[in-house]
Amino acid sequence: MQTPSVSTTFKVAPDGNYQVAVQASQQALSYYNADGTLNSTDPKPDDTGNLMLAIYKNGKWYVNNIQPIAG
Amino acid sequence: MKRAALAAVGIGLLALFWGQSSIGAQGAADADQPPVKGTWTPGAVKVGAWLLDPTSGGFAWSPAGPTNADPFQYKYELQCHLGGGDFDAECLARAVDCSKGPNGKAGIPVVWLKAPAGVPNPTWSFHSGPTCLFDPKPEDLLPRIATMIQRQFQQLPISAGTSTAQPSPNTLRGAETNFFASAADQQFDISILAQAVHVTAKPVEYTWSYGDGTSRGPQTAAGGPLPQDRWGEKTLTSHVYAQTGDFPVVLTTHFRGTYSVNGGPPLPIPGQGSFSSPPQTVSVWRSITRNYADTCLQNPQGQGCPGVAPPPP
Repeated sequence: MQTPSVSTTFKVAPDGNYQVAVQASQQALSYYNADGTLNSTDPKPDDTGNLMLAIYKNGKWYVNNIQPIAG
Repeated sequence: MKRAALAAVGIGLLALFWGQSSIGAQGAADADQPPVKGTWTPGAVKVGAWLLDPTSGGFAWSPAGPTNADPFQYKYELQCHLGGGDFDAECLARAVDCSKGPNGKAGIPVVWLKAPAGVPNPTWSFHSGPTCLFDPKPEDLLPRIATMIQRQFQQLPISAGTSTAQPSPNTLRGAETNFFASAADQQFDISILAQAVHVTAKPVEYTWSYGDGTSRGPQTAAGGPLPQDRWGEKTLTSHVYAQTGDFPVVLTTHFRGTYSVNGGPPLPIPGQGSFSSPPQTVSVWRSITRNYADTCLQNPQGQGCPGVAPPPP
């Protein structure tokens, strides 16, 4: 799992959150049995765009939510 | 599972970004922590997504959920291009042959790339190709096609579909007349700037002009047929005529389109194309209900009995 692109304008949106656009890239998955044989695989899915909603309070960052970006 | 992993990585990056050592996940016991914004409510799931506002650079929540939004953005790059002026010579030797284009012109091999829409400066991944673009300046070909596609879309011979009235062709004044639309997805192959462009049109909204000066729509509901024993029921698309007469009913179907250049990804056509069906006449009649005490056997001269002239209107 990688996040090749992460960006924010560092501006607080009207709902009070900082908005962080995150591109999430999930690698292909392989599942193995206890004896080392391959059980099944999942191909690499399409990358997704996600918006992380965060606030800064009392010297700490809090992530409120992560939701999909449609466009 | 994946969402949890994403959150963990995202938080890690956030910490890197701002150099913070304390983050929300670790501060879960902190009483000051705001409530997590859930999308579940007792009766329903709230569905929606974020849309990038290009002017502000911020994201706005779209609660209804964009039904036709493509979650990807696309671009193409010259095949075997390594960046700058450098090309992979070994790759070029195996590149797709674009020498035989329309009008004998040679084209340029490209590959299509995609990335999640709305993410600034994304990492691009392979979508499709290699395929050929036949233009001396392929780098700005797509923007030029994009400026022309909307007008071309409106000029396509797209069928608006048909509107059916129940009952028809005659209906009654003051009664609910059920209208429904039948329109299909349509596909066209056209040529723009010598490129093969495949256009798909999908009906998304409908407007009825009832011919009596009133109209309904645009709305997403196309309506549907009612069984005969339910004619007269109010539906999402039914209409009540207040006057008698013949009324030309016109259905306008609004289509959303995508276009694909030389087998590339389907790109959205901005706006909608609107196409109207030829007018269909609905005759609105009036009905008069009379009650009689006798049968025609008891009173053969009664109104409505065989051989009796109808009363003056």
